Amino acid sequence: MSQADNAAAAIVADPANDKRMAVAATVANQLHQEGRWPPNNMTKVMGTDYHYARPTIGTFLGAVKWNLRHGAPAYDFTFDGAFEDSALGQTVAALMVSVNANTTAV
Amino acid sequence: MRAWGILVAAAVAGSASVAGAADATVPSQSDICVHGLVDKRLLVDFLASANHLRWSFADDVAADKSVAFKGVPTWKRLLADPDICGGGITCSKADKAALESAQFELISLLSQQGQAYRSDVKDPKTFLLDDRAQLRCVAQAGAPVEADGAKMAKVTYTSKFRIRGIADDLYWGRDDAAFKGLSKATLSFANDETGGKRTDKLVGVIGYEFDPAIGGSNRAILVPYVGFNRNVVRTTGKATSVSSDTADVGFVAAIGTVGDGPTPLGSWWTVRPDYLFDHSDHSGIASLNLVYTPIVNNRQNRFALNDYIRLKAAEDDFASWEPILELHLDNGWYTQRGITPAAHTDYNRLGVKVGASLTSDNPAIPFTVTVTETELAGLRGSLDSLSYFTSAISWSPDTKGYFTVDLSYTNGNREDTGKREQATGIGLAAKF
Repeated sequence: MSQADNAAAAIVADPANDKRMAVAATVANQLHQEGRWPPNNMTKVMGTDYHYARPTIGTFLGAVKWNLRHGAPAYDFTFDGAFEDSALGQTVAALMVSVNANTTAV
Repeated sequence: MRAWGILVAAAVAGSASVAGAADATVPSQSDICVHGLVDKRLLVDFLASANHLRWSFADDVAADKSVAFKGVPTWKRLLADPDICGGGITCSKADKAALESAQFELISLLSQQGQAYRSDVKDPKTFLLDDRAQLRCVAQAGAPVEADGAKMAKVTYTSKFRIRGIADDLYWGRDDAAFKGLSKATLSFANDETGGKRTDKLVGVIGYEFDPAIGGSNRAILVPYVGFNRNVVRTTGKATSVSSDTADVGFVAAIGTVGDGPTPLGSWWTVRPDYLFDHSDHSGIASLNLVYTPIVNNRQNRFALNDYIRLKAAEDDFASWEPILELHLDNGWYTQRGITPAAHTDYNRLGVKVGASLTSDNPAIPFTVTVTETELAGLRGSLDSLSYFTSAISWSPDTKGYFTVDLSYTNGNREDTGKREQATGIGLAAKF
């Protein structure tokens, strides 16, 4: 098998990569919907920079959960109060990592 | 005239930890661009370095015999393989966090079609493994266009102690956007030796937060507290003037729920049982206050309720404002009617608190202006209606707003005692 063949084999049919892409796209889309992006900046902190608070981060994550659940393929993202509190102190990049860790294929 | 004054901001020490956040995750073109295209190796090195990936990690990757990535250079696999920490490679928690953060930052760079970089592919694996996939460096008039990006280091305070100006603000966390606009505890002493006047002022509540698990995406917060509001003026040769001298104890229970759907409505309910003793007239009152806060997150900078909207939609460093709306139901029962029993009748009041908060998004101009008006109808009790106006301009020398210099004005009847109050103040204040 050539190196190019290996590369092609690695690109297709990778559920973990699909999930990661879905999480990144869903979080980014929600930031657009809620007026935080553009400018797209992965280093901004959800609480202090993007003005999310305990009530609003829950609503934001609820929308991310719904959109992941209704995507194709569908994913189940779960979060609780501790997740919400930690999300407020996270950058967008760190939040995507956290959401990805709490997301499973349906 | 000679006067001295001590203004002490109330604060408590809490445990703190410095989180190793990424430094600068948006690379400059000068770091990674070669002849108008991003050099993939330079980009991977940048993201790995920015996320503090340990250098020896690549050695572990090289030792792996993964079939899917056989023959693929280690530096490409670092950010192309989401399962790199499986398959015999030892990843510490820090390794995994650094890798995932770098991988998501690469996805973002490929996805955003931003001002500095443009790509035809969004998948990092395709980008890194397919030589035809490229990330272009944008230039205008021959000059590279750099992306927004900032260095940052985050300090996280983990203490559950809370200090605020009023009990209703206790359920907000320190990482909340609303934190900057919350009421502050104030402790001040001022002595005018020429005029023979001494003023002692103490306003604040101290609480400790508990987070009972209630399951699912809903959440509950419980904050028992004690509070003080004391403003005493002693003038030589005159009777002591007491504008307020109360102490109270109670707890705030808050429950947050999120609706279903792509743009869900959030709801926050707070219930606050409280017992307040007024030393100035020897009255005591037990109260139960309920607040409902509807949450409508920003809808593309066109509408929001209790969330922030940018004044300039495309600029994240100008200013944002928040429409404020709460429904209040206050109920009070006097256990001691004190020296003016006619004024101390049990009450039920229903109404709204409306207002707006305007905050600067520019760190160099750290101002927040908050104006609220509370209007309650007296369903029972000595007051037919209650109005309370508050306004405050806050300047925060620290970025989080733990300490602020406040210029404030309040006018109306206090929600807890119903007493008339009109005050203008300036001072150093704190919350934690």
